[in-house]
Amino acid sequence: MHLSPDQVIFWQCGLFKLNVTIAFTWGLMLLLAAGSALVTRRLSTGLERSRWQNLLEIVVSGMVQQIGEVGLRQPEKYLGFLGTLFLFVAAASWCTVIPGYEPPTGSLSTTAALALCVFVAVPLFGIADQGLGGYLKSYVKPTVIMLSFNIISELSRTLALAVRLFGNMMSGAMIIAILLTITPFVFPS
Amino acid sequence: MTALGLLTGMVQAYIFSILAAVYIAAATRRRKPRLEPAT
Repeated sequence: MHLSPDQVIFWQCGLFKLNVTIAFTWGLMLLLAAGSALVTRRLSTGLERSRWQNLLEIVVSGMVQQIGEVGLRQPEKYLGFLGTLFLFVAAASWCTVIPGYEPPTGSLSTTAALALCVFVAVPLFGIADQGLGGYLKSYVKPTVIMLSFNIISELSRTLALAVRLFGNMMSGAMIIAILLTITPFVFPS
Repeated sequence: MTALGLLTGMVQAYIFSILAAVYIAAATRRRKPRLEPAT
């Protein structure tokens, strides 16, 4: 039994390893890209719409509504980034119905990469909205004393995002492994 | 168990994207200018 999908190696050549995490991440990306191209191929703006377009519009408008409820003005501006994050993590979990599939979100590398995307996107959106000066000023509000605390909070929330998703996705397998490990101590032969 | 796993995955995806949205909202929030008291 393996705890992380990183431990399953498909192909290795010297230092380069193709593990399950990389393979399934690229597979998911291809699946999402091909799916997006397929479902948006025949969109119509008329009154007669296909049931797939209706479903797609329900999903997209639901996402826009959720983003708007968080407090973001112009939610459509953030739909591309946040919607992709949601669909990737959701698709990674939904594909577990496929036999032999290992969710890449069960690897700390993937969740850390997703959290790093958020870590980079937050200041970019902040600068785009307030300008560089306005965004940097937000670090010293309400007083300059808060600068270090604000920087620590930026780093810690990125770490928390990565570890939270990793922990939740891996918890099932981890608990079984821990139970198997401690069983000999509880029930010695 | 599979259905529970799918539900858990959905919830995790929702939490991750909502938290990202909250962080972006915190970074893009502009304070409203204080209104001067009427004299």
